[in-house]
Amino acid sequence: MGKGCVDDLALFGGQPLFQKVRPISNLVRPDINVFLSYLKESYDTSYLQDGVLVRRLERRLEKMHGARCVTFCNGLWGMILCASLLASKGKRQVIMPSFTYRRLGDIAAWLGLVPCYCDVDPYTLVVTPETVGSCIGQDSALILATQAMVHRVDYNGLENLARESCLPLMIDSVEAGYATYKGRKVGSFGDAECFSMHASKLLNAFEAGYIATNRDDLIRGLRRLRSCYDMGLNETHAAMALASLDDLDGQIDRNKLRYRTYQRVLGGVVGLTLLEYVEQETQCFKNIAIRLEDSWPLSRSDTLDLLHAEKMLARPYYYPPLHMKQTSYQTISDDLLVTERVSQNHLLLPCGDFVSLQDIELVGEFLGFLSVYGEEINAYIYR
Amino acid sequence: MLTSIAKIIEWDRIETAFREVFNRRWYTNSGPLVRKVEKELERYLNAKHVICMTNYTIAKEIVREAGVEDPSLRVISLYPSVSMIPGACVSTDRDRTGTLLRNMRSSYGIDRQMDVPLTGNGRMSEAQALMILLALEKSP
Repeated sequence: MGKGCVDDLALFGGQPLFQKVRPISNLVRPDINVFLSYLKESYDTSYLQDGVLVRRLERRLEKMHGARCVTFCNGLWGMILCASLLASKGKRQVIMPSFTYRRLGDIAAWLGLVPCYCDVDPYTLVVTPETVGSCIGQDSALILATQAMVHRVDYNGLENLARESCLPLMIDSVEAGYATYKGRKVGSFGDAECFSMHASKLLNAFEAGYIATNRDDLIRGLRRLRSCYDMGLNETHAAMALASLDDLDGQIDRNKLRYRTYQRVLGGVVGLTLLEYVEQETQCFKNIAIRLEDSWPLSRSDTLDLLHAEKMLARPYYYPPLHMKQTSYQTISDDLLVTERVSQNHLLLPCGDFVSLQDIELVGEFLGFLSVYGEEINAYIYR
Repeated sequence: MLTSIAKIIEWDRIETAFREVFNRRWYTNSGPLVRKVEKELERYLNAKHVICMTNYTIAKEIVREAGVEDPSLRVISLYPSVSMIPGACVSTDRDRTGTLLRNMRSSYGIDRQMDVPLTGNGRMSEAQALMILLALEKSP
């Protein structure tokens, strides 16, 4: 039920807009029968031991990315092993954004390396050759770029920078799976690109990850480390990933419909801006991110409280940034003014397979209500 | 002691259990099956806390990085002795060690938040937990 007056807001005792929580995680459920048919094949041939599905999954991923792929038990450990092979020996700093996935700094720390945080572009929210370049020094070992929720890094610019600086380039591209950059498939850039297949990602494999690369030496090294450390993917998770791949085109269609609906319903809401996908490229349309402009009448914190009370599990977009978190390991950062600003005014809205088009209409209507009645709501909150 | 109880689980049992997982739509992040495995293993191992992990290597790495001196601490591979697919667990009788290791595994499934040296993304999925529970069903 929509909101007629401020008293109707769940934060002030009204009925929540939704009975069940609407999450921001993808949580795609592939067809159970497709999943079981893959699993049965492995069960019948080798009681889930042989890896037949893992090998098939890697071939399918290679086709999707136009690069060789090595799967791992999860994305984080795939990245750790990949970084261990790529990082220049004898050097310690890994240049990475601070405005990113909350565990990214830990990847460097597991290897005894030091995260060196760089700034991002204020509109695309990704690192640029300039922000990375300003951090490069004699102790730089690796550039670890990450894709933002909606926008893509300047691959060509980063590849040129890496080449000129003689530094390896690794990109966490999980938010860009399936996308293209200048018509070329994501997964085939830099020295390696990394993808998670956690249940919340584009491909739901329960838990899994993979590295895409066109470097034969890296493929050999990754396979060797995977085997040495028993970090391989199991057949059950591979079956899930294969079933998710079979559903991928359908998922993209559903994601696009949700995104289109958000575009329409948020178009007239004063004070916020939907981050829009570059549609000249192939996109997965999975994430819905907005920026609260200066004209938005509420703080982000209050906006989130209001959304949560209505059972919309909106989240701050990467907050706090990594350089503002206390860690047990050394980190390096200069003034990251853009990061600190954008980490205060962006948020992620409900999306994925738990969110219907009708839900999105209600989300848009609700945000429109907040925009119009913001001052009155503030008066309630701070009375 | 947890002795080897690995057996081939009948396909029908696997299929039924996975249909239940799909109906719940809870795939990982300390789901109900992982919590059930932890409770079952606490009983089998006579340990106060059991924390399920992705695999033996990750469990060992997390324990090493935790740097605790705890004589009750054990890292146990559940594959292939128990499960048909990889999985591991850590057991301890100390509350603080249990909380620390849960926090290092992931932010999901923690009993209370604690500052940790590193996080290790050592979650066990519901699929892994399901295979362990099916094996435990068949154990004496």
